[in-house]
Amino acid sequence: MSVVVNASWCLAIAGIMLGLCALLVFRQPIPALRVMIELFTAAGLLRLSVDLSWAAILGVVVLIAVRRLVTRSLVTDLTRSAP
Amino acid sequence: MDLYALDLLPESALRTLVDTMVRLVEACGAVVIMIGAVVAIVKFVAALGRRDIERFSSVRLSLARFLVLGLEFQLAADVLRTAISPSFAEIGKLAAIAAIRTLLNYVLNREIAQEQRDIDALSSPRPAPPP
Repeated sequence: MSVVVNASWCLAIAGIMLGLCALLVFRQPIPALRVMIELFTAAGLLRLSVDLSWAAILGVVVLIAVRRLVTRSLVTDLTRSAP
Repeated sequence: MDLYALDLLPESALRTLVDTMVRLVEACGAVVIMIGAVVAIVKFVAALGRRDIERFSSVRLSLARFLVLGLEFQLAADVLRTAISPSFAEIGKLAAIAAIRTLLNYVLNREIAQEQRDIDALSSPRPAPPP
């Protein structure tokens, strides 16, 4: 069980690192945010397969909501502000 | 000597059998997600090195496909688990997890379709304007 939990932490850290690197290299926030959220989702799903607590369930629900909300609002904002 | 089905397969044996199958199927889902994530991280790093943003998007698409496949395994494990859930509290938790996984599956599938459309639109040449 702890192997899967450790792996999920590694995925979350990799998501943060890759998101920051993508932001620095491409200078575009949407691809960076998307890759970060995608790896966070993978980490959440891994954790949910071993930890069936309400806190883990709530965490994944919040992740899905943030995923939809942030991506949509950011895409709308950047599309509007584009010349 | 009468042999009944209940004698051949008592409840405890059935519970153990289903529990083993649930763990096996859930482990398959976790392995699929893990492999997909590791492969995607390696490809993401390669795309970052080449500064190729289109490749970056297509890697994200392949990671989403792995996540959907892993989710399918986990949903199958949820369905199996309903066979041995003894209390309403456990069934409620199971329903919440199954709902989340189904919702996430739906969201990921929609995102994959959208991303695929974007990649196809970028890769297909535009028709030349009429003279």
